[in-house]
Amino acid sequence: MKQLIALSIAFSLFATNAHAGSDSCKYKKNKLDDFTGERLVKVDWVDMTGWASSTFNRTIGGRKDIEVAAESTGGRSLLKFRLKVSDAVKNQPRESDLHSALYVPAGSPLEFTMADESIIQLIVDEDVRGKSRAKYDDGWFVVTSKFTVRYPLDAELAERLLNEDSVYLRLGARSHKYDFVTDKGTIEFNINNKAQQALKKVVGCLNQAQQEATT
Amino acid sequence: MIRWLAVTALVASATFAGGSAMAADCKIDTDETDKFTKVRTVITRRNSLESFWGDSSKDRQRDIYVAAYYKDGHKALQIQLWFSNYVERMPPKYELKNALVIPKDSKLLIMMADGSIVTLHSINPVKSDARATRSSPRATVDFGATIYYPLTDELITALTSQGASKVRVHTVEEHYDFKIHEKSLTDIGDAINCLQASL
Repeated sequence: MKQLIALSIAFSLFATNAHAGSDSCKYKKNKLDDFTGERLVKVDWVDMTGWASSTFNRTIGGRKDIEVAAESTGGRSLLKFRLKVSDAVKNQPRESDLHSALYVPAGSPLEFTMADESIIQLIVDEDVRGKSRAKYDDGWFVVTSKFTVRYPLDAELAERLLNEDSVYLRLGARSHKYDFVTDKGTIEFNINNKAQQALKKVVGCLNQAQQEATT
Repeated sequence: MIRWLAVTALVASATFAGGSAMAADCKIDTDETDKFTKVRTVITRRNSLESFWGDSSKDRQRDIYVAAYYKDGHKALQIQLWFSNYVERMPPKYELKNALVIPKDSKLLIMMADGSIVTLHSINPVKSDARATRSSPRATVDFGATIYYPLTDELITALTSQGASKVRVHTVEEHYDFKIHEKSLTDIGDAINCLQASL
């Protein structure tokens, strides 16, 4: 019985610590570059995916997973999104279909609709092509495309994302024939509470590391 | 049985000892003069800057080799990169194109033992495609490149005066950092000294 109590106390302590750890900032890198002497900060990925996408859309297509992270090198900050989107089609995709399945050209916008209905816009400055694969599943070909897109983020916009609530997010992208990009050329997400927390956490952690570096 | 084992161990240790003694020597891989142009080319034996196994993890391996190069009065540092990634499925062909792109004038940064940085610039643009092979149950994607960085007298003095601890190779998209193995700290300087001695 004593052992059982000790075990349950140990477990609850472990669970409390794990929870505290998840609230604190996780950095993949937060150090001076050996070669340039510049500070490198890489805030680790945090999941923004809504439960409906992660629960129902894994195998049948229509998957829209999104994670957020941030990095800065020598004061230049980037907000990064890692997406995994899928669509189910009847015909086997050819290699050229996979090549054009997901493309984000340089100059494409990312827009947040804020709670006060104002828009925050970020612009990607490099071409990004998704890594696309097709998998046969019970009469359907599920085409999944994974990609990471990085948007330069200035201090003013970072401050707004940290202090104001956003409700909607859309990324400009192109797809030759798959439905994960809308006819308007966007991939769209509602920002629920989980996504809101993730976004604020990542931007906050980037800010914190930059402030610690300057003090 | 024990005697046989002892003999085998002795032979093996003698082989390894011989190998390490040879590694310290100056070895030339190529020393030839073109019969038509009379241009002489000298390349020292390449050495891995990392350990025998390279930098390995579950899903990838990589290695970096260095040699010194001479042709037609010009000296250069030759850097060879090799990467091997294990992936779940065979990638489509278009993803193998231009796996490694290093434009002309790309930087090679070498951190010397005293922490100073020596910067070299590549002379040849490199565009290298990857090659994918099925290796059940997964696939392997390999790619690599040979890059030449011209050496001036000033650079030669800087690189041969002390050992080096780290190397950064810049490509078009990113850079790759390599920590030089403790047994290879003087390999860059040794290769250059070896080349100089052979000319």
